[in-house]
Amino acid sequence: MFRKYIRDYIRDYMDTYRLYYMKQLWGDKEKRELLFFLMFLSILLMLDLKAALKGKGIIVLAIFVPMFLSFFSGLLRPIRPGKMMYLCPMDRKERRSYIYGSYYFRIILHMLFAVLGIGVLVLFFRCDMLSVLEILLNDFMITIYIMPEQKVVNQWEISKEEQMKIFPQEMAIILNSIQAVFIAKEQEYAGAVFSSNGDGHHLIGKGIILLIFFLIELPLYLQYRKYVKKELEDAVFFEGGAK
Amino acid sequence: MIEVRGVSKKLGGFYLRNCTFTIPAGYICGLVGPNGAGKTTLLHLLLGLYQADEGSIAIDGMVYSSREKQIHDETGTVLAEDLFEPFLTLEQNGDYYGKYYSYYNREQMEEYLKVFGLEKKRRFGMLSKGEKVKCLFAFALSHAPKLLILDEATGSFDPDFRSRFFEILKEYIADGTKSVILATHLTEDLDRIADYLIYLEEGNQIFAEDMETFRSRYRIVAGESYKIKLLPKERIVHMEENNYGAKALVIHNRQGNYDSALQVASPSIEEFMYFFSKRRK
Repeated sequence: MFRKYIRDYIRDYMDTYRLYYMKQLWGDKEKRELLFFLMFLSILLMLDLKAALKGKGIIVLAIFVPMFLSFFSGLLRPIRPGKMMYLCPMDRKERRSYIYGSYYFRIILHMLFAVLGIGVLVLFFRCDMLSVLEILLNDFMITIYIMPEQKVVNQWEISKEEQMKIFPQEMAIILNSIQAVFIAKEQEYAGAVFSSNGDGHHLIGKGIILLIFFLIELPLYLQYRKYVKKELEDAVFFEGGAK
Repeated sequence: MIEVRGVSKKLGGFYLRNCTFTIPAGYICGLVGPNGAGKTTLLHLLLGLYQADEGSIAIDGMVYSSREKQIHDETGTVLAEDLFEPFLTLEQNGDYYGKYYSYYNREQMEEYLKVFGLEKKRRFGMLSKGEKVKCLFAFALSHAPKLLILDEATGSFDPDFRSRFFEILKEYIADGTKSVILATHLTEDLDRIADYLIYLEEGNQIFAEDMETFRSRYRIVAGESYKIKLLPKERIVHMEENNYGAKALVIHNRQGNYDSALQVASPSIEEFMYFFSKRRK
C-alpha cells in the first residue's frame, strides 16, 4: 500500500512548501504566533552560542534546521487530505493506508534529516552519546507533531487539553536548543567534562535536562501517542470519528 | 435509484429532520430551498461525507457502510468549492484523481475541457470560479458516473454555457439509467428540466415528489382577495394582497371550483418557494 501511494506522498510533501500554504500559514494568526514564539526562544538561545561563526553555522544546520523543518511542515499541512480524497473511490482500509502512509512518510523523511544533522554535528563537535540520543528523541517528538484541528484562540488562553497537544513539541524544541548551547559551550573547553576548568555548571544543566526528559517529556510523549492515534483515525472519516 | 428513509442529521445548531424520498433512475432532481435550509447537508449525506444520525441512504441498492468505494466510483460530484489541487494543471488533476476511478477516460476529460473552453495546461488555482466548476464538471462526466451530484454549480456559469450545461444534462440522462441531483437557486432552469423536486426549509422536508405531482398539487390563484378567501382556509398556503388584488398559493383539489374571475395556473418553483416561505410570517 505504501508503495502504491509513494509518488503521491512525495508530491504532497513537496507541495507543502508552496507559497500558497505559506501565505495561509501567515494569514493564520494562531499558527503564526506559535511558530514565532518557538523560533524567538530558540534564536535567543542560539545567540548565546559562544562558538565561532562556523561552529554556529554547523549547529544551526545540524540541530535547528531539521527541528524547524519538522515543526513547520506540521503547521503548514494538516494530516487530513482534501475533500476530494473523501469523494474518490476508496474504501476505509485504503483511505486509512493512505493517511497513515503519508504521516509515516513525513516522519521518516524528517528523521532522516535529523540523523544527517546529527551526523554533521558529531563530525565537527565532541558530543556525548546521551545528548545525541536525547536530541534525536526530541526530534522524533517534533516530527510526530499534528496540528490540532480546533482553533487555538490565544496561545496564552488555551485549554489544558489543547495545551497538551502542543506542549510536548514546544518542550522538545526548547530542550534541543538548550542542548545546542551546551554542545557549543563544551567546545570552548576541550575535554570539558573532565577539564580542570571545572565548569561543572553545564554538567548540572545536562543532568537537569535528562531529568526533564525522563520525568516530564517521556510521560507526555506516551500521552501524545494516544492523541496522534485518535487524530489519524479521525482523519479517515471526513466528519472525523468513526460511527 | 436513490432511496432516503427517515434521515436526520444534527450539525451544531442545525437539525435536518426526517428526510424521506425516492428518486428513480433517469430523473433530474432539483433540490431547492432558502439559504441554510439544509441542501448542502443533504448532499453531503448522499455523498457519504456525513453519516446520518438516523435513517438510511441507499444508492442503487448500495449503502455506504459496505459499498462506499463502489458508490463513489459511480458518483460524479461538482461542488462550488475548490476540490482540485491548485498548483496542478487541469490535466494533472484529472490524472491524479482519475486513477482512483474505474472508468476514468483521460481523452474524454480533455475533450470536455476543450468544449468548455478550458486549456488543460492551465493550473487549477489560476481559473475563475466559473471555470473551476466547469473543470470539475468535465472531470465528473469523464469517469462515466451513474449519479451526478451538483451543488450550486450553475450560479457561476455565463448564460451561454448554462444552456449548454442543461443540454449536456439531458443527454446524460437520456438512456434512463443515470440520475442527477442539482441544488440550485436558479429555479427557472429547474422548471424546464427537472423531473423531481425536493424543497427544504429550515431543516424540514416540505416537498419531495416528481414534478407532475408538484404541478397537479398546487395552484397559483390571482384575482380579487374576497374571491380567493372563499376557498377553504386549509387549502390556502399563503395569500398576498395589494391595492390591485391578491395572489395565493393553494393546494389544488380536483373537484375544487375556482371562481371564473380568478386566474389559476400551475406555480413555478420560485413562486412555490416564495409563498411557502411566507406562510409562517
